[in-house]
Amino acid sequence: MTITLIAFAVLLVISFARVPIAFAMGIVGFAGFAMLRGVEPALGQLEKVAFATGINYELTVLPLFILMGNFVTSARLSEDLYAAAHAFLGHRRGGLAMATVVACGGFASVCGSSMATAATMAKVAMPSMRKYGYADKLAVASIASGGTLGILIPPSTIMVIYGIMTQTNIGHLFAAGILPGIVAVVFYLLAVQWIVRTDPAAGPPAERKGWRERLATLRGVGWFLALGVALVLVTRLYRTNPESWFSLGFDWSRSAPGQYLLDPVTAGIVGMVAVFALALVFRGVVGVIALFLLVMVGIYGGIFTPTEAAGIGAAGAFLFSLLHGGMTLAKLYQVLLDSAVTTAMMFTVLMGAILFSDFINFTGFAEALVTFVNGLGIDRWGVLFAIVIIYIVLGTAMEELSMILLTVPVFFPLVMSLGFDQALGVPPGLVAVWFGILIVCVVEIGMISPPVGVNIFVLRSVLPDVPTSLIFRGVMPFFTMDCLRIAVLTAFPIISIWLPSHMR
Amino acid sequence: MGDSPGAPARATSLDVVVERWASRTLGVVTALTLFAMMVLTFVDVWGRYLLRQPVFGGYEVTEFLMGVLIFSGLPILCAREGHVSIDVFDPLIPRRWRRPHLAVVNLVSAVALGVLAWRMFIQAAELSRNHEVTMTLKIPHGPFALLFAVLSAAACLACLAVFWAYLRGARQPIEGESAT
Repeated sequence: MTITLIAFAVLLVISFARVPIAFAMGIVGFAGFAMLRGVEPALGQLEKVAFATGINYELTVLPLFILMGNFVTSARLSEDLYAAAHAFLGHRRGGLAMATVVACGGFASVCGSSMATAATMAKVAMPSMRKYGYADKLAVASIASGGTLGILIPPSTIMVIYGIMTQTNIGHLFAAGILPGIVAVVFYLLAVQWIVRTDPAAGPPAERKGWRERLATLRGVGWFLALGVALVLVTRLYRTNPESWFSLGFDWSRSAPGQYLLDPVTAGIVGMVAVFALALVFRGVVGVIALFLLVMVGIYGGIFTPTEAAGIGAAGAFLFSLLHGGMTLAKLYQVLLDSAVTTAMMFTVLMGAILFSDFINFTGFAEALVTFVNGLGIDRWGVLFAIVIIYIVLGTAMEELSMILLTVPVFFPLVMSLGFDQALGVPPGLVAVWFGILIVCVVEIGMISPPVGVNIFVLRSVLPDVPTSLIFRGVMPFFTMDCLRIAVLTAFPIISIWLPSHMR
Repeated sequence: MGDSPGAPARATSLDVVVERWASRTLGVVTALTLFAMMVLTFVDVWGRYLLRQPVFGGYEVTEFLMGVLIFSGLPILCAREGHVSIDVFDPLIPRRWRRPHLAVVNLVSAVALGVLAWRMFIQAAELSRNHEVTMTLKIPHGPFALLFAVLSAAACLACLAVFWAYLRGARQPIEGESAT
């Protein structure tokens, strides 16, 4: 236990001295391993980790989702999303800030990064809110907070990392993020309302748009409804027995084996092809919906693995930006290069973290911690509460990726040892999913809390004229709502695990 | 000093040259690799469902593309100083110590990458000696490990170039302000 705590202390000191986190973790992990096992085994460990992490099929999901997000960003789908949300919500008090939150949620459903979501939405939403005389603190805070939804609403790079580290099903994690994502959007809308109630001048209403104009922003949605109804009908008819109302009195299943209308798997594939086609035909909000459905229904229905869904999503976003987003060769190269360098950045951190956590595992720290905590005789909810608090505190000072990589190897075994699976009556896999969602939410708080909220800095670089202190003040109601959301998600695990529990 | 009037010839310092070189050559490699990975996954899935014919050995090709993608992105990342690091405490460092500090940070990174490259070379030699290949396509591991080793060494050199640039004053710390 002592040697591990020393290792953590050394790690903190050298990473606070600005050594890149990846190398700090790698060096400490390597040195610790060398001290316990000798230099040769430590070098062998280094070789193994570097090669095995570099060549790993599971991990290809990461660059492909990063690529998808960057294609979507360059296709400027954010403008269409914002225009639609503006048309529906703009006339209310604080309506443009609410539109920003909703558009962020929509963008998050095709982009797995919070920073990208915040940066993209800032360019679209900020000019509009300034035009209508919104207070900077409300405008910026709604973008910064709405941006954090990027990692909660699937796809999500942080969930991929968590899933790989803890061997949790990534598809389950993605499905689990949907309902908490909706909860988060609702809470943020309440935060906006809270601000404009106390300070009505902060968010004056914009002009009301007619229904014709509103519906114009949703062009093509009818096709989706038709497609969905058709597919459900086709698969239901295949299975229907004469007693159910759905059969309309006929025995559809009476046809000879093999002569069915369409079996569910084929229907799913046909649906995927149709959605892919729709994503390419219509620009605007429908394109976003199509890309989201393509990825999520594909994963949820077991048609694609997450990696395949990422590849399909990236290709769809690429074709979309080629057809509607004014993609040029130079832009394409820039998107590819940026995604690749981001991938390299994440993988260096990942390799360092694996070296470090291998060392931590070798010292038996996680087991010692479990014994120690169990010896304290605290209720499992008390322990979970303490972990959440620790995460919120850490999140204020640390960047999200390294925080997760550092802490999950320690806290995950602890949480899994608390017996939540029996207490809640669910398989351990779903407890892992639930804890993953909680961690993502806590990380989101860290992104907007001082002193190192990454989203705050993203906004500062996009909008250099807004002082940081003002952003932090404006964010406070959203921060409060975030804490409330974590309390709700902790108290009601069903919100997170209901969708994944119905997956195959 | 790069911008003193007596020495206009040394207009571009080493780190800038390295960054440009890495972005032009390795940048193309890494971008093409990522694009190939996307196309391969796309074709593989639709091939499986629509033609009942997945790409033979697509899994293994993707794996190696992944390795090439990461390791060829690494030198660019180093030249751009794009690594994740915690800079909250930077405002506490006296102004005149900031440049030497960043030089040391890059030197530490270079050493770590140097050790990595060294071990990758040794591993590459071992994999080649044992003729390790993948299951389906019999792709040899050795040459790829060698490539990764070379690219890690390039990343190490990129860090050294940045270190040198800070040391000589050709690169200056970006003057950020504190968070609050």
